[in-house]
Amino acid sequence: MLRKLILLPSLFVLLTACGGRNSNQANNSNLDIAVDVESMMVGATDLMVTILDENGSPVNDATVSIKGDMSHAGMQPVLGESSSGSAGVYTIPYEWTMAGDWFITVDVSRPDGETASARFDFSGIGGDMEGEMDHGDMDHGEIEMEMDGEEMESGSE
Amino acid sequence: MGKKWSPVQNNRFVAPKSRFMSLYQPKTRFNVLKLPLIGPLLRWRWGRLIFQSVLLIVAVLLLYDGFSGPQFAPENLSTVVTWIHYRGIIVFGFLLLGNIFCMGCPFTMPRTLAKRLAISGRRWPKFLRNKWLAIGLLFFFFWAYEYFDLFASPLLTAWVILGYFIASFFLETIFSESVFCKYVCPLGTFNFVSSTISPLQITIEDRNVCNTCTGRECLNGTTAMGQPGNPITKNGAVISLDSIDVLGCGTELFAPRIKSNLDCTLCLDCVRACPHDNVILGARNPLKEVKEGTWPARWDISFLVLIFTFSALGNAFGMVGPVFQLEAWLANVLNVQDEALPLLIIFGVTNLIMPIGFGLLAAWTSRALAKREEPIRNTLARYVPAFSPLAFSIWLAHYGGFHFLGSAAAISPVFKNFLEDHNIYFLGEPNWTMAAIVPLNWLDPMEMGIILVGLLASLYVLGERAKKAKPKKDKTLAQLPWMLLLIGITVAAFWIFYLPMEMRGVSIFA
Repeated sequence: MLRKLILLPSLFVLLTACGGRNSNQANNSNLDIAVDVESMMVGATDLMVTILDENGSPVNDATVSIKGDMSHAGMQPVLGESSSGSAGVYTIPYEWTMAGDWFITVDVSRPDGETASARFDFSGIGGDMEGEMDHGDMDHGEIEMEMDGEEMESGSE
Repeated sequence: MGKKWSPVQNNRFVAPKSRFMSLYQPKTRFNVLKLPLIGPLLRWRWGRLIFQSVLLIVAVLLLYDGFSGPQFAPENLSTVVTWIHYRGIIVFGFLLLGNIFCMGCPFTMPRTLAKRLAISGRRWPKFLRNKWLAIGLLFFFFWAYEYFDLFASPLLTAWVILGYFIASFFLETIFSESVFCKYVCPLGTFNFVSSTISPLQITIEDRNVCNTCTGRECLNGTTAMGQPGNPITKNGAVISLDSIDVLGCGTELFAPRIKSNLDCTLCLDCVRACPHDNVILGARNPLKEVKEGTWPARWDISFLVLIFTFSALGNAFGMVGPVFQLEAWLANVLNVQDEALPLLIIFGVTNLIMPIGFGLLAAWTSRALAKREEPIRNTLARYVPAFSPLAFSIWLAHYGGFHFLGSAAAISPVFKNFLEDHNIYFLGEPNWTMAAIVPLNWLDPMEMGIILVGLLASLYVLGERAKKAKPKKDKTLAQLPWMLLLIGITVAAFWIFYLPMEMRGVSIFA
């Protein structure tokens, strides 16, 4: 009896791991998305989202939405949107509202229905108390993530 | 707190030879159990099960999303509900009612099943019948929370929840009493200390009824009764105890001697078990217990309260910039890459060494200034209850103020997103701008106000306890070390809360 009871939670874990929640965020394109940011300090800044198609040509007709979340639960996200790209770059006003670790989620949709979504890690946003030197050493320039099964890079440099 | 009775066969407690023992019957303003609808629900045999069932459904949902959902804390129910709503709701619960989480705790749901499966029904070892293990686990929990960035990991949060279910079940199976609640559970330990300033408490209506009671069903449960020749009557009719079958107090508190919420899970089993309807859930002055109550003069209880107090600072300190600079400095000095040891040292100092060191220093100085000749332990026990209001206020400002009021509405988009991922759309699109339920610029003044009220309450309690010192009251001079310590803690809390938050924690499992 006890053995069966031990198995129950294990079974639950396996079941949830095998058939759990799937995000509806669809990626049906091979767009390359990169995010650059002017400042990694708390306060206002601009996010530059660069979008290239599979041939490496800039995409200027997309609507780009961004959502900035901290790594932990509960903080109000920072939202932004742009639908006017220039040379594939969409500039979106943004604000790091708190020091710490952030994620930027970029959603792209094109007039032909093509959509893409990607998330970028921006760990180590600096606070007012810390000097620029602290952040000069931070390794946030190369952020790897996976989209459509392929690794892509995003960088602030 | 504890009683001096000896267990006999079948783990049943019997009354001492002297029938007329010291029973506690405080003046009660009103009995919650007499309120319409709520009273009958709480008294109902399955009343607790309803609350537990609701929380069990929530727990299963959190487990499901934690294990299978997106490993992104801001969008996962497991992390959002656990670290925002659970913590916020329980602290407001302590303030307004009492230990409501333990009342509806789903982890103890298998208790009855475990009791039936009990392998030996053995007693918890004597050397563990204190709060030392609970203190250790509470310390470990706070350390693990920071080290593993639990707030940033849905998966680890789900494992913590599952771990609670498993630990509770096995301890309940092996031991005859609720050892998990009383001696092990870090959440329960936190809840017990917090509820010492709650406005509700289990007590009795008429001490004469308890004095003539032979069954002690509030403690033994009705399953242990039903002895031949010893029928229990109610309104003149003999009660069929076999048909009631209610467990007695799991943490082995005897209702007519309860003066404290420490160790009370508010399960109300005592209420349901009492065949005389003499156990009540009474309202009290929230400061009554810490002002007048006589906690045992035990090192473990005194240090638990002090550690609970300093952990409020340590936990908040873990969220501000200087802690990361300190961690980096320690890592450099110790030549380690991992933050485990630096974090252990920081928390070891803030959550263990400082409370124990400052507590002993204040007690020693206070005793010297009062020119008393008594064990330090007694001096410590006299004044430690005064820390409860301030400690709780810091936790309330942190969990209730900053996290809950500043983020509670985030449940709306997160839950809608969860439903959308399961192709359920009737609630509409998630509005990700929803987070705070009060204007954000209210939070700082509210937090400071809460802490200030906590300090004032603590100073008041300190003065009241000094008046009750025997054989003569303590003068202001003897209270001075405690005042300085309370004010120092408050200043430290203000400093930490005024620092800009710096939320790091990219989970290794993200």
